Amino acid sequence: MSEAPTDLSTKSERSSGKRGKGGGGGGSGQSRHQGKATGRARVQFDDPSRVARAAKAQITSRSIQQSDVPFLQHLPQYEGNTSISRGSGFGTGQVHPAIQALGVKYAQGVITGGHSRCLAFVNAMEEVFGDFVMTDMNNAQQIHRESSKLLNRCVQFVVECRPLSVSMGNFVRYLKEQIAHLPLVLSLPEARKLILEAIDLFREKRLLLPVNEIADIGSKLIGRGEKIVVYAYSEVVLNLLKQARTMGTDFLVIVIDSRPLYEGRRMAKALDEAGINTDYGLLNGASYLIHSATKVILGAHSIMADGSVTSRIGTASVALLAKSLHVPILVACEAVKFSDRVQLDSIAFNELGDPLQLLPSACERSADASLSELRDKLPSNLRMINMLYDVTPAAYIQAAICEVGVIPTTSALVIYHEMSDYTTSY
Amino acid sequence: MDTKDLEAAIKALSSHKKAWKFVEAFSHELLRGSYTDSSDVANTTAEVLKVVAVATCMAGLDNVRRSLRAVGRYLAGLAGNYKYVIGNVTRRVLKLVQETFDDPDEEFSIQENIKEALSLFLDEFNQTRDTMVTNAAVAEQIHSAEVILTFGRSATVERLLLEAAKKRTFEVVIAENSPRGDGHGLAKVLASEAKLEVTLIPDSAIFAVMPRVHKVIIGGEAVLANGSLLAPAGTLLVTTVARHYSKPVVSCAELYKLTPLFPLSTMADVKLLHPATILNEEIASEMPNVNIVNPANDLVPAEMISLLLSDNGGCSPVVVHRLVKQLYDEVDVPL
Repeated sequence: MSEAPTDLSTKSERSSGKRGKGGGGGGSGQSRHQGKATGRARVQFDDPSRVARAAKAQITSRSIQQSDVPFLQHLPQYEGNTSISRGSGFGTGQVHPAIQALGVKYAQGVITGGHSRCLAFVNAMEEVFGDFVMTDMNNAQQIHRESSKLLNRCVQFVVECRPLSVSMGNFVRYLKEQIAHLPLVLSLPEARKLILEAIDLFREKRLLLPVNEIADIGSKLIGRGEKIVVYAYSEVVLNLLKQARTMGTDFLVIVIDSRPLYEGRRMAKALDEAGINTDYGLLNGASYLIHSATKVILGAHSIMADGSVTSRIGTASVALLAKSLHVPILVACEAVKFSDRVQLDSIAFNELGDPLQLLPSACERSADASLSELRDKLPSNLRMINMLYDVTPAAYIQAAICEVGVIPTTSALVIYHEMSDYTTSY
Repeated sequence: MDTKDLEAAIKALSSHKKAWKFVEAFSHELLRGSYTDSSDVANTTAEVLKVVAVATCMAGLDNVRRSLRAVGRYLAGLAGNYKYVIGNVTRRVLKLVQETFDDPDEEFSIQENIKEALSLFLDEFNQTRDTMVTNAAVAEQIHSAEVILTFGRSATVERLLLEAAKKRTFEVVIAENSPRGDGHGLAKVLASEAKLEVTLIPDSAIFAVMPRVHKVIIGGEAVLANGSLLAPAGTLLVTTVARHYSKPVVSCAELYKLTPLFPLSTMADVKLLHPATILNEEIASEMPNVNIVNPANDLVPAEMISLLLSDNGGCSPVVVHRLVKQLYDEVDVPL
């Protein structure tokens, strides 16, 4: 198990390599299931002792607040207006500037979407390890310790800006195992080279290649004259639709969008630029829009162990309406977003956005602005919720399109374990 | 009644100066879109029709019926969402006029008879919403500490919640109903006036929050003869989610919304609104070829509604056709 992490290119090698690795690989596989990796235990924000511990580990000077909505108190409360977005919460030189810049972009919502967020994080970590130096080099073991400390610090900072996406969590777990399995006798430049190669491999095989693979597979599922419903914005779905257009298929895309993020506008604009016929409407018109559709293709934040799909809030209602109107639903999702977690509802784990985003913005002049004047003095018995994700039950989804092929979403866990094995073994 | 007859009837009516002034004033208000509450529309329609009936009844039953139908159709054509309400009120006045002609009090003239009958009707009719919200069967639908979800702002639902808040405390979750966003207005009223615990959510969070909800209460512009509800676009999403979580859906509608028509296609009654409310010019110009779709209504099928509340109390939507038989004459169904 001490080969360099570079020979993971083909599928045949992948499977044979896995079988051939013996005890070492099995051991690493087991330790992965024991929940030691980063991000495993989510802080429950209604548990004072856990909150205190989390506060102690903090790098930035964010205050930890509780949500004022009773049933959301276990979730991290939105604090957009705090130190991070103003850039003052950084310790001097504690965190690499690439990570600092990235954290601000996450916190301000400049980078959104599972794919883009993970890619940006991988790129930033590449920079971090490219600049990895140690002042005091006594033995090789220190390389392990120092590099995992460095990784932990970066992760801690990023988490404080915004919770990790599932794909980012998978990347962190991967990188940790790569570091843990670095050969024992190694010079610093050699270690750096191996880590950078591992990062590059992850980016190619788990992030970039899958998007193209999914586009290849998915675009063939779209026939001439079809009406495809999509919801909000998804990089992977957009890529798939563009590919189908490039192949010469003539079809209509119906973009369904929702307040307050209006990500569907970005989708509609991109589709329009790609020369695809596009309809656009809001969630309240969803039943009307889905009525004439032939397929629904959804993006995902994650596919969980029981096959349910976490995605942008509103996705579940689109899926439910499509199901009740007998329109088949596909989810386009890279395997790096698969997770071994399970979640029954959208409340047990979620992210909270700025509740004040619910107030109509300047460009929504026709909307009821009764609450805008109360902006700073909302009565305490009036609360607004702005959650980011919801969970679509597996039963609504016909299939998931991932780089491995078209699979039932309930098989995501199998792929997750397969993939984790292949990326962590040499 | 074809268009030619309608025009003739309207023309004949314009010789009744006083009655015509009433019709015109109301039609201007309708065209201007001044009404936000169906009960105002229903009451004004009844007033106007009373004036028309009193003015034209001397010329005989046929004449008064023709005038009423002409005015009803004329006003309904201007009324957008309220066309069903106006049509229904017209049908009820027609039935009443017919009954008065069939069985008049011989001591008085026919005009006095009509005046008397319609005044009695109006006294009661103006109280429709009060009758509804104070009806025991309606008021007891919300119990204490319940979590109620509603969609947007229906004047009927708003009154019902305000009335219930006088008796007990409960929580209300309001889905904002974008692009109109009228849920914000309801949230403000319920939180500041009724001191209820109010949670405002975007439409996208309906699925996520529904497990926390006990009952869904919705309003609409018309209850059709098979019990289905014509409601603002987005209501079908709410009821579909409610059905997924097996939450009871209560639809609230005064009897003047009871329409003796059957939906023949789920999409036939859906009107499309101006796209600018969901995408302003500036953003729309960035995607010139995108077709913006902004439907006005949803038709919620009767099987998705657990209970229909009206001024008549509560009933299952499947028995609506019987109420329709009681309220209207068969001959008045096509106005």
